[in-house]
Amino acid sequence: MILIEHSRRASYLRTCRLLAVGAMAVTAAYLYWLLVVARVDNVALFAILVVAELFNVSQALGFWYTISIQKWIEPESPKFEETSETVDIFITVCGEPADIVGKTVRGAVEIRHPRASVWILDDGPSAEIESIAAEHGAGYLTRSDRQGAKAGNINAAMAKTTGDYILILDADHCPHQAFLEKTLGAFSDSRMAFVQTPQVYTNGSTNRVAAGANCQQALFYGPILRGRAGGDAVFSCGTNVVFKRSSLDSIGGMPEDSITEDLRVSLLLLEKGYKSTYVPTVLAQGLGPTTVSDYFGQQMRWARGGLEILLKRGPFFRGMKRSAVLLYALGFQYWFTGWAYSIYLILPIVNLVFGLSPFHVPNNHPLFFIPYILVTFFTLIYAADYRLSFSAIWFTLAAFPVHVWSLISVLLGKTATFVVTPKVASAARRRGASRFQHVHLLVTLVLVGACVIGVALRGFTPSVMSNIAFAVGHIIIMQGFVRYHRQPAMAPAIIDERDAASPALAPLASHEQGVSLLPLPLLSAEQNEEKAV
Amino acid sequence: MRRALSISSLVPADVRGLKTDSEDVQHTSPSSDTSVGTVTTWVLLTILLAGAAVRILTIDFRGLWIDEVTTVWQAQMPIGQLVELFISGKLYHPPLFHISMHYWIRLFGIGEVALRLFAAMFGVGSIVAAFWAAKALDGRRAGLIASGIVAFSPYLIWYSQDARMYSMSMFFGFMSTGYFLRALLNNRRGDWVGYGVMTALGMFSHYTFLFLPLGQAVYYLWLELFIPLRQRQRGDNAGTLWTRLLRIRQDVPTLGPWLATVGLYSAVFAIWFAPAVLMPAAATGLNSAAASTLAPRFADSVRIIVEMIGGFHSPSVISGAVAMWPLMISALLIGLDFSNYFRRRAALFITAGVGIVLVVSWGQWNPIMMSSRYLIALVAPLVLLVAGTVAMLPRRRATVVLLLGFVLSAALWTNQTFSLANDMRDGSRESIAHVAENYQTGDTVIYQPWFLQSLYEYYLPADMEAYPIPMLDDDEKPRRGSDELTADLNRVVGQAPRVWLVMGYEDMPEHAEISSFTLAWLRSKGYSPQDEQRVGGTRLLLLQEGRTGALDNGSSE
Repeated sequence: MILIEHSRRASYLRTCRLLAVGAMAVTAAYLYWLLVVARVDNVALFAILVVAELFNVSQALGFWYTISIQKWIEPESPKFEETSETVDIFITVCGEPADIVGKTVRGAVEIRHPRASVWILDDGPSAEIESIAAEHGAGYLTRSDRQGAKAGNINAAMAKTTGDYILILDADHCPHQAFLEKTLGAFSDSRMAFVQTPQVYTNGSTNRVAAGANCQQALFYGPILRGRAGGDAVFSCGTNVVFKRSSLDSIGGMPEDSITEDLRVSLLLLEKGYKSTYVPTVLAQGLGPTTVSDYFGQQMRWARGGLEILLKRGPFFRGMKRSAVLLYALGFQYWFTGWAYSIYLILPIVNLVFGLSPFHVPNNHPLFFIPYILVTFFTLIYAADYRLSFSAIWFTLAAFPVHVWSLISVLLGKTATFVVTPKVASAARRRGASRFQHVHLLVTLVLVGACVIGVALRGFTPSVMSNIAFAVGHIIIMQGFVRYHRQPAMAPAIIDERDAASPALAPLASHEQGVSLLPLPLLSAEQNEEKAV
Repeated sequence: MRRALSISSLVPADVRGLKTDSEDVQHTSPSSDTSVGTVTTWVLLTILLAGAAVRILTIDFRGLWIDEVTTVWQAQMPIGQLVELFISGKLYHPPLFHISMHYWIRLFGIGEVALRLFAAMFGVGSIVAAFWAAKALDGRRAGLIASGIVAFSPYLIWYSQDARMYSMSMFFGFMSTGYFLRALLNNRRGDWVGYGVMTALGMFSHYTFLFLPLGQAVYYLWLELFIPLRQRQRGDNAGTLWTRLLRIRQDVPTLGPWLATVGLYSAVFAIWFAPAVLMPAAATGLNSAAASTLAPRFADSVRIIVEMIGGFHSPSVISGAVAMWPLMISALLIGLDFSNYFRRRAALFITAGVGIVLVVSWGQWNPIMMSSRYLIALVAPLVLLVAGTVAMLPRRRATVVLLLGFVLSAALWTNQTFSLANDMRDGSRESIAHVAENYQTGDTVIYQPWFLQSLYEYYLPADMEAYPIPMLDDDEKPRRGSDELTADLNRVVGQAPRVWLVMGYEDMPEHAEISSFTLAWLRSKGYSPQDEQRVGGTRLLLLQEGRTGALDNGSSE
């Protein structure tokens, strides 16, 4: 989790803004070179390259805008003895292991609030879960069907409960005692509909997949959501979120017409004139995906849900704040990343096999391209407070078949189903959801084949070598997923335990994985041995 | 008692004393420690012998190049004259290498092997120095990997077989880096003295060595001094600015020894540095006119990295490898995952990074600096970084990486050493030998560029004469077809029945232009090409007067 200490926030934000301006300058120089100076070779390839580059630049611009308007919301803790509100804590369960649910229930009943009731919303249902509820003095709610998936489960529970506020926790997200103290203060604004808090994965060091997913989450729940808070465009992420019941009631409860009910409810509430905010304090710890198929399953649900809302539900409305329009548009645009990456995959293959290039590559091409790439990455690294790993970028790019397939399936009107991200690895699931790994394998083979063909046809010319280098970059991204799918017992990620130290939230700090790039002291051989993985 | 504030002081007391000399990093029993030590010694010895063999057995596979011969003539001067050259600033290299070579030549002569053995000695010494420095930071395994990299790197083998100061600079680079790391960890007087002495010697071996201590200073001032002090100020604001300043020395115990050491080697270096900076070239750049655009310099920047990884190869191989710059972006991204590793070795990372940036920046302004050999002192932190990274990998993966690296290095070294088509192999020795073998009385031998003169004097048999085609006039401006050049050619060629035209450095436009002009002039005088050969980077043409040339299909144009 990327937390910025209070004393550093002003300088951090100032530097983010400076970097954003600098990055825009080098990006403008690169675009000038690409659109004005570059000599077009193959018009079709040039056109799709320009589309991909403009997509990336718009994403980057959006990111720079987001990090420039970051806002830290730290509501004052209400004095519960002087207030009268009641809170329902919903723990949504749908087949998760009992021991995981048990930990979450135990955490939930310890949340400090005099009028909080804990409810297990079991869509299982399971006698074991029921006994856990009884053991901890929590309520147990279940229903006869699974209509509306998680949203339906919550709506069913809302019909049987009366709390003024509803804290929603996924079955694996164990909350901190101070959850309500740190969040309920935000509802002093009568238009506040919900308060979102970060999701962090305690299993982030289990393996590379968990680490990669964790890194992506860290970036999202760090500068991105803080920026969305600054632009009044925070959306609910489904767990670790507190809703005001009346706001949900005003839109007829949780919408059941989307597999990403969290995003959908956020937009509906925004349209109703409600506000939302984000408290960037870690108040619960959960479990992330640990296998490639689980990760892709999670991505697939988010991508399909997001694209369905974009294409079929009309997310934008008259009167929406400009910053919200921009930030939501950026959020939707993210799910097209796979298409842009597919273009980058195609270009070296076409060059190596057919000898076609989008433009003539003069010697000075890298002089425009490299500063653009480096400054963009550095801005990303800085915004992540030097806590960014290759995995975060790698996982985004490697998810390209998921993005591509999501759009196709939405356009074809295929029915989407709500799938809970499994909390334990399952060999059956790994086998069952391997189609995307086959895409990675296929792309890897095509890239290798293109390299061989390129060399066979034209020899080791600079043009061939340059395209081989791009192809190798893509192969590096693909091969990991091919290997990790075939080899479930993956090497642990390189994690620095020292990064866990967080003065802001010491009791919860142990989950805070991440890899800071800031220099560390010179250590002796013995200490380095100890630290090496 | 106030806790010392230096970052080094964060190292717990029980491990502050580096156990590099007598203990392994593993907590093993004394008997197993001895056995590990014995294995390490044998492996190191094997690497050392293999590294020495590779360097010595192929030491004369390529002929001397112009700078090596220049070394010979300069080092042969009487020592007084040599010193005068240094003091007057006419010989801008620091004096250590030339003075050492002066006595070496007196002992062993000026044969190719004898000349290069001096460099090979430092090359082999660097294998041990790399082990010693890497072991201090990352243990025996990293030490052995570092020594293996130095022993089998084609680039480092090349400079261990080059009768110049580069291997000497590399050796002092390892020693300076090793002592610097040990001094920061131990703060022992011996290590600081070692650091000062080795750095001073390194600075007197080659002027680009300066970039290494500059990088070290940036690291020290930033991470050993500035950040700890800033942290202290945040945590403890007691006292006035003055009292806090007085406390610095107490807070940062390495500050005093560091200042003393830097002061010492800077003072010694200043003796030479003062006249050197007064040289016109130091202020204006050696060829500032050629540095007008950044674009070619970018390719050069990548090329020097390629050379450092893979050694020296023909331009086609190099340009292909340079075109693979997108891999640098991939490497950079993957490097993020090793960021914990790198930031713990900030001393190496910053030293190498600052040095490389300085060399490349200087190269933008002064093109002669765009050569990988000017980064040779920075090899030390780079090798230690790579060795430590590989040592950190799981054993099986490390073995695969090392094997792949070894096979790739062997292939590149083979190409570098045995391929005469490699333009980096000048080919002058072989060209001159070919001319000498086929020389007939009355033949005229002309060659270009003119600055190869000392090379011809070294290799040409005493009873033969060869004439350089002068490129520069008295004002050091290129003649390029001027009347003076025609007059020179008329004078040299005279009525010779056959002319040998030996053309080097044709990849440089100014020399290619002279070659082209000379060939056209010879044709206009009735000479026709009879034979053409290419040896390394040299083109060799035999022309005969009054005969239809065997090569008159235009191929020699």
